[in-house]
Amino acid sequence: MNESKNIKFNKTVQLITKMSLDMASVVFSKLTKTDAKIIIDKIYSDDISNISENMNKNSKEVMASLVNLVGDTPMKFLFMVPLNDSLKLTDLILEKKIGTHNEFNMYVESSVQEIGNIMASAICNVFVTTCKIKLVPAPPIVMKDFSSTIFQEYTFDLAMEQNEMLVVESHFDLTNCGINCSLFLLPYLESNKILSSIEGL
Amino acid sequence: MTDLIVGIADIKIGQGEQIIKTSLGSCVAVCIYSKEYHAGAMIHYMLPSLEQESSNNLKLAKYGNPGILEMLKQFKSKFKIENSELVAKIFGGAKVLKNITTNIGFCNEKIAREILHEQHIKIIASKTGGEKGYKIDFNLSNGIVLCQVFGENAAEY
Repeated sequence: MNESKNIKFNKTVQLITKMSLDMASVVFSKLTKTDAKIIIDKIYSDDISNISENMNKNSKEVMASLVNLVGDTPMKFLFMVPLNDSLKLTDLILEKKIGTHNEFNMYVESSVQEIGNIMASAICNVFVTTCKIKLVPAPPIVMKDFSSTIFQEYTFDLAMEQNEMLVVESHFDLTNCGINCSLFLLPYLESNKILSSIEGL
Repeated sequence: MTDLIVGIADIKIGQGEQIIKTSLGSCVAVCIYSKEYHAGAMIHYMLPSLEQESSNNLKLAKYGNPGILEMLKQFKSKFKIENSELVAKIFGGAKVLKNITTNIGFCNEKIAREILHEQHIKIIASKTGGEKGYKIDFNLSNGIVLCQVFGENAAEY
């Protein structure tokens, strides 16, 4: 039995979440010293079955950094990069020639973990500076698996409590290196209500 | 041939030249198959049982119990068949997040075995547990499930 698409999110939620993802991508560009071009940036609410069905359609082998953002408006942050691209990303972070890393070792894991941590911190900073909302990133968890599996585990505790989720999704390319990354931000229902009540932005 | 994709807390039923697909972590997929009709169903559930206090927020396929029974009900309303004529296969139930103490995957698998036993449905294949995700393709023309665990080659069940 599916619920109707009834999570209400207003312009404020869209604005803050877009600002935070923009900030994350700016930080990402600086970190990797490349142009990070945002391809899609959408905010939607849907039933968990539909959201995960779509994730299952295009499941890839990825490396991911999962971060819980804890504080006044708890959220979940997920950064995913295809496995082969994670090697290139490690080269960029460590300022090596692309192609230097060719195995999945602690350097690759640490790089993806650090990217997750830095981007999550950037998102938290936007919430603090624009809305005075206290939000801090918990230590990231790094996973190497199918993107659909990671997404399911990432949304597990949210899906336990609610049948519908608000998803902020952003895909972007590192244009010079052909690296394709995905970012997800999932506010808890309570957080969405708090954000929706903010005025005057 | 059209593919049916199953999401979390979802049930799909198909027949003939269709393939039912899903991806799993700690969730479990139960596939039931009728050789007579070349038809099958898959449920992808995330928790073993529905707690009483959550019953006002019903999405039956989120839970092994009563989700598996709901899948059987839907399947049998479409195809006139007895439980004893069906066979089942179980997949998933991995412990993907190592820092979580409760092994939900194991509990999900356990409830599937219990319910299928109670319903007199024979489990003819399974691939469960581990620490990595699964991708499964359930071919309804022959009942074969192609299962790939992350980092391993796909195998038929």
